[in-house]
Amino acid sequence: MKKMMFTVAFSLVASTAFAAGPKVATVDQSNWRRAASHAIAEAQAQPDVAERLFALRGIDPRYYLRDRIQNPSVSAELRRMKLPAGALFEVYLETFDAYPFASADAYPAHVDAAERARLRTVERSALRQGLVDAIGASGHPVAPYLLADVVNDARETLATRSIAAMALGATRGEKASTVLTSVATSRGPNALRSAAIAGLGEHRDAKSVGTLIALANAPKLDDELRAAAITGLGAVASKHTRRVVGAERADQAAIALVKLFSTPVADANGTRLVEAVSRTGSRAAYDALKQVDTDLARRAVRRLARRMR
Amino acid sequence: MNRLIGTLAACGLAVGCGAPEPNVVVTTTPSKGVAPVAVTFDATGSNDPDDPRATLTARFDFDGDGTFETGPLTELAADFVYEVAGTYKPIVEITSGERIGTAQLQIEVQPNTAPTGVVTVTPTNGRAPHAVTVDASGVTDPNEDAATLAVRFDFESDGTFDTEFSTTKTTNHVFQRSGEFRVTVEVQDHAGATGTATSEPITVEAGADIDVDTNRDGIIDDADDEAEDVWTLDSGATFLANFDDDDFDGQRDADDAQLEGGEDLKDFARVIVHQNAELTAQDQVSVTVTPPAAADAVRIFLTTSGGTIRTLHEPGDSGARSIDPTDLAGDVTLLLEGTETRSSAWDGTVTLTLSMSSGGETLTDAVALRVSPVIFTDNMQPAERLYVMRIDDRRLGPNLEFYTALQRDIPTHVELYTADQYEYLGDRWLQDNMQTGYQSMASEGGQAVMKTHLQTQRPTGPRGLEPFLISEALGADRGWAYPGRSRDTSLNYGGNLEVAPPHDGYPLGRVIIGGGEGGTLDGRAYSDTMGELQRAWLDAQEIQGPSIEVASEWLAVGHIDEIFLFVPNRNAGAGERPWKVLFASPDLAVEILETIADDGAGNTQVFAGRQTQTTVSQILGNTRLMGYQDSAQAKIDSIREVLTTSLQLTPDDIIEVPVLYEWHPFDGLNFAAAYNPGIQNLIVLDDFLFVPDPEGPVVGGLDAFQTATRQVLEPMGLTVQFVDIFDSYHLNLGEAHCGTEVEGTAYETPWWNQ
Repeated sequence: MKKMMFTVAFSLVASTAFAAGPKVATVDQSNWRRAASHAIAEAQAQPDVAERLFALRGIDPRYYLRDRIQNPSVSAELRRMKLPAGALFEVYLETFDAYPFASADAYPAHVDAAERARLRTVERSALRQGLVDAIGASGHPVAPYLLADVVNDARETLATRSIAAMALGATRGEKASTVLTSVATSRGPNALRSAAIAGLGEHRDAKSVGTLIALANAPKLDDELRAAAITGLGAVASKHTRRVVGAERADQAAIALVKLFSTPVADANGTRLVEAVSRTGSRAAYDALKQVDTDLARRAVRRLARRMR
Repeated sequence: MNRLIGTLAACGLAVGCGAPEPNVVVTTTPSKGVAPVAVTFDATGSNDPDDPRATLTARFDFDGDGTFETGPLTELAADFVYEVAGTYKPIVEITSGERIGTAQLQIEVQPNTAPTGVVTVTPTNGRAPHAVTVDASGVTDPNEDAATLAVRFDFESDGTFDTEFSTTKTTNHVFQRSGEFRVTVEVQDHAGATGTATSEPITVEAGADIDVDTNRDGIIDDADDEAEDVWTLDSGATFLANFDDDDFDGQRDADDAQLEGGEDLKDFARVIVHQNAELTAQDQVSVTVTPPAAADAVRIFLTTSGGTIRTLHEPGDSGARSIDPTDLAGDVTLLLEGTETRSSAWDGTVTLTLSMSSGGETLTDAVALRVSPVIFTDNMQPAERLYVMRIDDRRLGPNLEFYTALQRDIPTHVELYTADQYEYLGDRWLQDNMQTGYQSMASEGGQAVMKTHLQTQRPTGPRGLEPFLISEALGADRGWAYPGRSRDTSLNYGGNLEVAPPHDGYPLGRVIIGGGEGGTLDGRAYSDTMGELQRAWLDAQEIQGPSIEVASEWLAVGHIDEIFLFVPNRNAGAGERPWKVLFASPDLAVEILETIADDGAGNTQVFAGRQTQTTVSQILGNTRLMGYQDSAQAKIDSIREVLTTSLQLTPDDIIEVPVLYEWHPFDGLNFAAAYNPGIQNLIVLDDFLFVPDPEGPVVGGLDAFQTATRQVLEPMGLTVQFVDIFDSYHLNLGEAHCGTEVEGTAYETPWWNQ
């Protein structure tokens, strides 16, 4: 893994995970595990955390077997519970194997042994994916380091690494785009690369945008990855995140999408391009698209016009 | 017409002779003819030379007997019909002031002579069905051109005329049965006088004759012989896949080889093989079912006039099925039921070919039938029954708030059908296991309907809802159809199948399903579609297809009811569409939240009191969540585009409610699901809507999401009742629509009337 350092003011950390810990100026590559330990200790001191974390409905067959897809999933539940990040770190980094999954009698009688075994595997996978997703959403300064570690951890499943890549992008941590760009442009599995590209779309810094533009225009790129890059540019230029990203960068991404309408990329990615550009609600994109004389561009103009209102 | 200027002068008593009398100018049209003759008298040419501007009146004595049949008429004209032959001298009197002029005319009425009938039939012998030409062009009338004479025919000379009077003198007829016949013609002239004639005898030998209700009036008679051997939209009999359970033995009537009698008989199509008394025991009679796919999909029972019943054809039988020739001493009735619905392997058409071999000669006759499609009702159709599960066991996740609201407010004419929580282990997703529909076939007075619900491919096992339709909901006139199992995916479930209400080109609506290969909202490659077998089965029903597919693979559950639903517009004006498409709108939701935040109320709670409680500002401040809304809206706009094109929608046909989406990681991908309860995922019971309570921000005592919802639904004449489904359905990745299913009334328009 490349060495990296996320510079986060520790005053912010102190208010969340390090209130009782030693004074540290920043969380970086060298100390994030120690910072995570502090956060874990902090969480352990809070009442009810373990009780809540150990009673996730999304991986308890008594509950998820009643949902419509009957698949374990805890991400949304974890995000909404707003548990201390340290509790999530603890389970992911230290006590995962000891996590109290539902007991054998939690499965309905008609679920046979083979199916129970399969479900147990899926429950574990769902918890790991849920944890990394929720860690990303926690906003904790340690999160980007932990997620970057997961993304690059070849022992971890592709599914968990993929979720971590997208969550990492959303942390918008400094140099996260370096990790994601590295994975996105690597020769690794498409599933992980496309997740990293999606992560770049969530990250939205200048480097990410540059990488996305390059990928979207790369002549020999796999279709699956190009599609992710187009969607990533749409994410950068999204209407409702424009104020966070900044108008200049958002318009840069939007105009890059518009330019693709005049290239062969548009032939194979018509609907995806229209969706990506329409999510921007961008006036600059609208004006530029009106100069493009294709049916696809006119379709996008109509869609943009609706979202600009 | 004759024209006469007054010849009889009269002198008004009060005026005194010397003043000129009015000039009487009269025309009669006609002035002669054959009784009865309608004559028009026109004296409008009369005038008063002494006072050209004087008002004249006329009186008419039509038969010239001195008594005027009319009073003074200022219009100076009258009509009269002379019924009886004779010579008449009518008098017309014109009055100007007190001066009178008269004129006398002559009308000749000759007696009417009845026309003479003539009829010939060719050929005069043959084998049933024997087609003949009947010619009455030789009819005559001494008083009238033959072209204006009208004729009607009694083909069997049984005293009942089989045609109406017509000036067309030739016609064709088919004698279906053996026997000796004569054709009688009756000819009528303009006066109603008639003449008749009867043809030479026509000898018809017995033949092969099989009949069904080809003209779909519910009765089998000679009128069904027209175009009976090929099924088209205009003609051809209809039948049902016999999928209900009239004997309550727990299995569909088509699944056993029994004729249940009673109500079950109504579910069969009747086929008549007409008697042929000339057959002997050595002759051969058979019925063959074709094509082979149909032979695999129908069962036929044979009932003789003596009351004997036996199975003639079992599904899978091939080749000719023999009938005992002696059974045809009388008519034989065949009872046909479908054991399969239409499918990609069978379009539902059946041909029954009757074959009779006697004395080295083989005679055949054939009839065509087609099984009903399974037709799904839409939200415009009156509701009859609502399926839901009642759950009060804490271990199963209670839904009592929701269930109690339904029980309390359901329209009185709608039956609330409650599935047992323990029988199905709390599997509350009634929408997922079924899609309600029906079959119909022609009957006297319209169509006979059999509720036939699609058992979707959702293999829950015995402790989920999988057995619900198959056993519990099965009954008289209520059954199920199952296309079979191909690929397991939640996109097979009923929530992923909606019906656009009737519109141009689709009088019974159109099926819409979800699926595609557009990937997830964050651009990752992913595809999922409804299983091939189920989709092919849907399209094989034809009448509401081909189905429209819109993207739903990006959703965690993958159902189109997570995106949109069709709702009635009871206040639609003339020319306006009587329904609208209700779309979930992330844009609208964000706009509402932003307005609240801009007004300084960003701390307003959302999902207040729930474990997942948050605030307006927290939602808006979640950059990833906000970006996700843009992506969801862009995808929804693509779906909107597809529906707009496919259903010819205008912007006015679309309304929106505030719904946010969030991602659910699974297997390395993020799939979308409603963040707040999906408002559009509601229950339509005629004009009453049970709407998921969005539990949005409450400002000024009002839930802003609820308010936005009422603003679009209530002006359409709909009653909105919000229901609590947060813990019981929403957190389990479903909403109100997902947890219920409405059984609606069949469309009035029969499926064959397209």
